[in-house]
Amino acid sequence: MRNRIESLKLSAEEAICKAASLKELDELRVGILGKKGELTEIMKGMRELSKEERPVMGQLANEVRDSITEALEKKMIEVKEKEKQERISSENIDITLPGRKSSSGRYHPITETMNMLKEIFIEMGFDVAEGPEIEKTEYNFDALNIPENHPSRDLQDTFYMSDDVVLRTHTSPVQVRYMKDKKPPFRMVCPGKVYRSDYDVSHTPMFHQMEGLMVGENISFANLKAILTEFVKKVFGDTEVRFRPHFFPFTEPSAEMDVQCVICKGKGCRLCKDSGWLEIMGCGMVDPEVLKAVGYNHEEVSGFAFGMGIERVTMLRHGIDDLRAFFENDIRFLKQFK
Amino acid sequence: MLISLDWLKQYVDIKENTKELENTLTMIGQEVEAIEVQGEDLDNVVVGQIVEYGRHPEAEKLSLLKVEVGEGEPLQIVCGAPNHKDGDKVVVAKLGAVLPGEFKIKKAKVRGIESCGMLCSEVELGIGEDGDGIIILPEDAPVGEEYRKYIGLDDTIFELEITPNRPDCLSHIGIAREVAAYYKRKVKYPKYEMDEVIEPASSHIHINIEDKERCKRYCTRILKGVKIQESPEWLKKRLRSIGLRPINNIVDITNFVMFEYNHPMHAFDLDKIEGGKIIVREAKAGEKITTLDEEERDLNNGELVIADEKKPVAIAGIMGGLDTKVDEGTTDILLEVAYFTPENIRKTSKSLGLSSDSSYRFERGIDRENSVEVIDRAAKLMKDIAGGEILSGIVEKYVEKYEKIELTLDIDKLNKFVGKEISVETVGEILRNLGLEIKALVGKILTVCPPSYRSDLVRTADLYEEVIRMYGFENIEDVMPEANIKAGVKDPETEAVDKVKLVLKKLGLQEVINYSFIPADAVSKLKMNVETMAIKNPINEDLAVMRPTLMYGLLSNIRDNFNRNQFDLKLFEVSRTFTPSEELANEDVKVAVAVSGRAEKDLWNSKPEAYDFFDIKGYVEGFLEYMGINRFQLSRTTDPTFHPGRSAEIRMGKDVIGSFGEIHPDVAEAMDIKKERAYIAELDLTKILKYGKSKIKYERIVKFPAVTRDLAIVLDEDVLVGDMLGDIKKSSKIIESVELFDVYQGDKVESGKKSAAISIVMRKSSGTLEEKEITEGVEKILQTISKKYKGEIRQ
Repeated sequence: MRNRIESLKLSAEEAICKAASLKELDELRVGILGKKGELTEIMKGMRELSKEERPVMGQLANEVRDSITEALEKKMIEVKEKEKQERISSENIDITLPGRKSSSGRYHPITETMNMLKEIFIEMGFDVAEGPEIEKTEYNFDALNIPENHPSRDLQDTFYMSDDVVLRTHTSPVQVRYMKDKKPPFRMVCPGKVYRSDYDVSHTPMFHQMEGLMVGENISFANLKAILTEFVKKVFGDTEVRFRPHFFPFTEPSAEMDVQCVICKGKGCRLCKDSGWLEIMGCGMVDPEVLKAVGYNHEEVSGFAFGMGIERVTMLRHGIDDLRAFFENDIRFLKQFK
Repeated sequence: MLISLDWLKQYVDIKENTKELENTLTMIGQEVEAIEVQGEDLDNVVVGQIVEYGRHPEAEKLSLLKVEVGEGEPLQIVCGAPNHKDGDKVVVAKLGAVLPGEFKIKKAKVRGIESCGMLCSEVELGIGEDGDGIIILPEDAPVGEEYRKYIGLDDTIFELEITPNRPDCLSHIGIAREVAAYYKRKVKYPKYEMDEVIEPASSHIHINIEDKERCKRYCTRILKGVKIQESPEWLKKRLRSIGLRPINNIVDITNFVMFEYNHPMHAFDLDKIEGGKIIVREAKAGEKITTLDEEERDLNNGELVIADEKKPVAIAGIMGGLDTKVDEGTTDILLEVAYFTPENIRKTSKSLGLSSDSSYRFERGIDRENSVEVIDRAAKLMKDIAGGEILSGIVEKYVEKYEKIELTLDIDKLNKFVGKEISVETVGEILRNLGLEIKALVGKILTVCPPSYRSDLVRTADLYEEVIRMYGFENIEDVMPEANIKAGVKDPETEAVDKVKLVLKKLGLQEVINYSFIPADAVSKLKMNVETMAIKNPINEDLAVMRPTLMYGLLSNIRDNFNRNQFDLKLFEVSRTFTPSEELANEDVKVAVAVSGRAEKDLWNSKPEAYDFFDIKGYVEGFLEYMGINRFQLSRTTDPTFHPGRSAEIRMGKDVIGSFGEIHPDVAEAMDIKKERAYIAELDLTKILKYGKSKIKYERIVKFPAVTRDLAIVLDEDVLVGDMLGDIKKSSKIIESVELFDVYQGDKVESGKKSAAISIVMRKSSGTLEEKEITEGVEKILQTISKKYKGEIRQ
């Protein structure tokens, strides 16, 4: 019996060593150690052994069972690892094939810029206000020191709904309404659509503006410069800015604010017409006539106002060179603004 | 406004180079928009003389020339022009010249013979229209001289943006004053001595201002025996430099002086003025005048005219009459320098649709005090250039004299306003340099008098501007306002619109922005019956009325993108719409979504399906859920824009908050949307906000197990399954959700029937469901299905 057991051990070890798959190993396990397996068969002969031999053979059989089991497990790990490696190496795919797209929605670039500007101003303590787009001439012009029969009305080509109702030419009437409702001090911006009857390469009859106002005691021109400079740096990064005198009927003094050209960084190029500067917004100290028109005492409060075209800011931020693209809504254009 | 640097230098010393002057002008508020350096492209173009003339041996029509250019050997040049001969003075573009249009002159062989330059025509040099032959210069032209110097094309022209508050700067003297004030230099006004004969002008002309409201001053002078001819070269050059066409010496002088002093003037042919009278009056009803532009104009609106005894001879301040114009036969001149009030000129100019350099200036306001200086300057120039004699005296009426105004400026207040200490000496110096008279300084309060040409300086605030401008914006340091800043807040509309846009973006839609205007027939294309608001002066027919709906724009976007071969369209727009109202307009914010075409293939091995009703519905549901509207009713809409069988309106009780669905085939046809079906939704933002729960209500996740039952229900095919699902959900408290996972129509069900497969999840938050509870729950569901919807459980 000892011989049979020992030869079984040898043949089993050889078979296990040769086995190449989990299936073969399982068959071996069943064939040797299973209920009808070879070892079990041999052990059936135990009954014929003497009392003295039985425990000796039993111990031997157990040792051989343990050793075969161990060999099987060891081989099984080996085979599993080998099969995993084979699977991995058989699973190569063409990684250059296009990926599955997941599309998220997108804002129109004007909205994207507008949101950015709003966030900056809100952070700087400015409230956001809205007002009608179809507006009285009284608010759009008269209250802003733009009397009828004055050339300053020519600065804006106006769409009329009736003799005294217009499509607002700027968001300034929102400021007038706001001032009539509120008492200083305050800071506010009013974003929105505005309309002018001008349609060519550099004008669209509708565009977007954001204007703003800060009124209080002791608001100075130096404050205007500081606030607007900080704002522009938040939009365009740490760039040079300059203020130069201009004219608006509702501010005195009035200024235009330039940023260093985003393309040539001030050296002069086609975009900035060789000046090195790009106009970014109009601004100025609120004209006493405007303060009077909304019932403020211009001896006691002062303030500054500013306004910018959102299309222009967007064009400068993204290097867009055609204004009309904003309203053609060509999906190929819009897709680019993630 | 064009300013010639050469001309400007007559009135102020300028040592600065172009770049520096440009910067100075811009930084004091006279923005330089463009600079043209004349003759920039005439490098290497010189005066030459043909010293040897012959024929090209190979070509009959070409001449072979030797041309002397004042240096080295004469140049050998082949020329194809027909109009030159030996000894002619010509214009030579030497090797290295780059003519207008990037035309480089290089050594070239013409029919085998070397040519070292080119003789030029006006066209080739970009200085005229004559391209038939080369320019032949007068005999005295100096050989070798730069051509641009020879013809005086050596000026630099500044294009300035003159703001409406500074009419004084619409002239060379005006700009000279600005430059002088900045650099602290003197203005050199024109010097002349009047040279009159004894004969008084007053014996030839009498002036009567009838309309004293609209004409405040009217001055005239008379010249006799002038000779009308072409202006001298210097005068023509001045006018050309600022883009004016020379006409004759008298007219040219009136233009020259206008651009010198910013005071318009007019010259009449004295012989054509009847009755020796000038009457400034309102036009009589039915009067007509033919103006210098040869247009006959009806005067029906009480226009202010200049008339003689019989007829109007000019529309005051705007344009002279053709009948009394100065022409070759004119010998005696009546010169007018007047002051008309700005509002009147502007009104008349607008109503006639006629504007001129003169009206442009009058409507901005001119200096009435300088009238004498201006008329004398012009008369003297006329005598010097056109000959004749100046009759003695100015004949004038001055009905309302210019009143000097006094303004006070408190230095402390100024400094508070500026945010910087500027000394009283500096302020005084700035104002003095600008021509203001310092009347007094008491303590820190200055009293000043602006000059008559600064009609814009009427308030203390105007003086602040002058001080800050000349002090230099760049010299005022930034100072942050003292304030405790807390973050600003958005108004409710902005808050809501921003949220809506964010939600729609999250849902995967692309935002578009369309114009607020649509064509007048747009609403009828959408089969809508709604009153629109028309613009009185639209840009064109396509932009004529304010949109009452966003759908037109979105459908146009779909069509346009189809035309660009873009077929994956999932768009949204959030904007105001406009409908008539008692007060201005109803401006309602609408939320619109449009879906059409098919998804771009998401992978190379998949086939995307066309978008359909359930895509738009999914977006609407997803959107409403985000906005806090989880329960709403749907019913078929009668809105004619939509396909009647494939559209729905969304209701909260009786209130309709919006509609969605496939557009009606008629609309698709009218909008020219052919390639794919289009689905659209439009909702009212105000109503969404009214019903939406703005705050998220948190519910704890229940840990007890759920029980799921799947049912297949056979129904009549016109039963609205969505309604049934809602009712099932409501039938028992333990029902957590009801999901539809299949709808089937076909062989396996009776015709006229459909089978809906639903999955019902039941759960209790207080404990595990008992078998009895489940049975009761299912029983209630089955009752709902059979009683209300006549459904049968399919076995």
